[in-house]
Amino acid sequence: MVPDGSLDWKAYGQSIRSFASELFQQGSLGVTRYGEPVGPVVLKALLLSLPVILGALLTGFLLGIPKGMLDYALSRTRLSMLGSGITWIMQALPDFFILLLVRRTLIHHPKWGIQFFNQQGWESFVIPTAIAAIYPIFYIARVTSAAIASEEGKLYIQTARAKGLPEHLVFTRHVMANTLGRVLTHFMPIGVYILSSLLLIEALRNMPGAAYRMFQAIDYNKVSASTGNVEPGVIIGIAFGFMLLAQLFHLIGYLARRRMSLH
Amino acid sequence: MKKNVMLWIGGSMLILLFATALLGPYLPFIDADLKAERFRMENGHLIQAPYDFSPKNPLGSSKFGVDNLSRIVVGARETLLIVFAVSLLRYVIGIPLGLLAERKKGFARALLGWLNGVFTSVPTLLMTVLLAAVPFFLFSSGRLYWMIAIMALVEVGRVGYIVQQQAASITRESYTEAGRALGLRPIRLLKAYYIPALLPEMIVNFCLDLGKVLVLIGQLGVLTVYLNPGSAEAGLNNEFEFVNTANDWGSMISDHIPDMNTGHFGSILVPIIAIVYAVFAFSLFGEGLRRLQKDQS
Repeated sequence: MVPDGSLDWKAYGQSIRSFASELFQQGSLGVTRYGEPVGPVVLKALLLSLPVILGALLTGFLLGIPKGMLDYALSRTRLSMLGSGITWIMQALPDFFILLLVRRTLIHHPKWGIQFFNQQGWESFVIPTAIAAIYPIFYIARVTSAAIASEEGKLYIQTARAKGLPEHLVFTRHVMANTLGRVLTHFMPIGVYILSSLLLIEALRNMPGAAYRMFQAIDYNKVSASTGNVEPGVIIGIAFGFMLLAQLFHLIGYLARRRMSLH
Repeated sequence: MKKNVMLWIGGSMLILLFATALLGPYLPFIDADLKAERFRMENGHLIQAPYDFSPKNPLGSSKFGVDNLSRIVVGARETLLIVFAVSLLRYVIGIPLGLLAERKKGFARALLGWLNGVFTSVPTLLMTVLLAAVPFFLFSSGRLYWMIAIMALVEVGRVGYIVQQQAASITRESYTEAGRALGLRPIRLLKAYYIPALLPEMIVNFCLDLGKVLVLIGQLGVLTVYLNPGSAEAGLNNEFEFVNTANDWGSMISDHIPDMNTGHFGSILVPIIAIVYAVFAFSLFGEGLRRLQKDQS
């Protein structure tokens, strides 16, 4: 039997009412399709993804800033295409292209000893983190090199040079100090990008982290007997977790912006 | 003046893309009907689809024997139409909303804040899947139109926010203040000050957004979330299965995804590389336009 998709308002209302009453009277999000309480399930999924999110953020900043400095240094030489050109290309590549290539390569080279689907060992952290970090690295590199370029020739830098401060100190104490602040103002888009790249990474690795667990809870399935497996509690719980993370990223970006405007 | 290499490369890539979408199906080596040829006689042997790369199928074929090259070319038009529809819808709603939100503090600003808050805190892809799985949209016969609306809606807040930010910076310009002091009507202010200042940046953003929409379609394809209603086929035990009937590149990825683990990786790469090509074309062209504007100003 194929459902026709017409809205059965009564059934909708009924299920929303029962969900809400459970939420407010008992303070619980209900149970999953396997009968477990939702709270711990959501927490477990978020904890699976959190190291990857933080790792990707950290990697992005640790590798992106030096890459941006390199791009800026190369921008005045003949090799400028090697610096900013590669950065630009890597940023324009769709994430699923890289992801599928990595998956295919690792599956076809078992001799390398890197297990793509490993849920326990070091691969479970390194592979998703490395893939999730690719876009942030090049995004941050771009922002960094633009920020350095905009500091160039400002009055305080000329003053520092005129006072005889060595060039490397001018760069580290003045240019980079301001550049770091400006890069941090981009925290929100970078963080949100990592969150949204999580779904494909987890789905193709078969790891039920926050994004993939939410996808499973949505129960989009092109082969389905019924749509009775939707887990609204899990969806709402994980979405709430994502919102908290996004607010945190927003706050960090906001603080960085405020610090910049105070200066 | 230094030659704008990005604009030239991006522009020629785009022209090739549009030419393929418009004229491709009429080329002699393209099978516009996309005939499924499950078996074929070759050198006295009966062979079964999928066929490998060969002069007859330059990019291989699907497991039903549909030629991949033909499907890419025929699907180009559909894909581009969807991508343009989504981006246009985003900007047609986003620009007025952003302008209104900048001018008045009431309903428009609240709506924009709400759109932004809801749709940027949950990752775009998950939000799209969530809405796409709502039974009303899932089983609707106009699913493609709903999906276009959904894909536009999830990013309308971002477009509106950018417009609002830029409009705010135009408001602070002294020439706008002068115009307001002269007592110009809002319509006149909009026409003479806001639109000319906003338009160049909006065109660049629109080009970059085309690439983003295409990536989103590809991501949905990898997750086998179809854009089209498709036909439902009955299976065992009262089950049914959606069968893809569309040829856009995202759907093509989802048709090939099940073959991923059976050694036919090449045929997944075909639509993915088509998407990568188009994304590069849009981004190069957008970036080239931005440099052009920078050189002129």
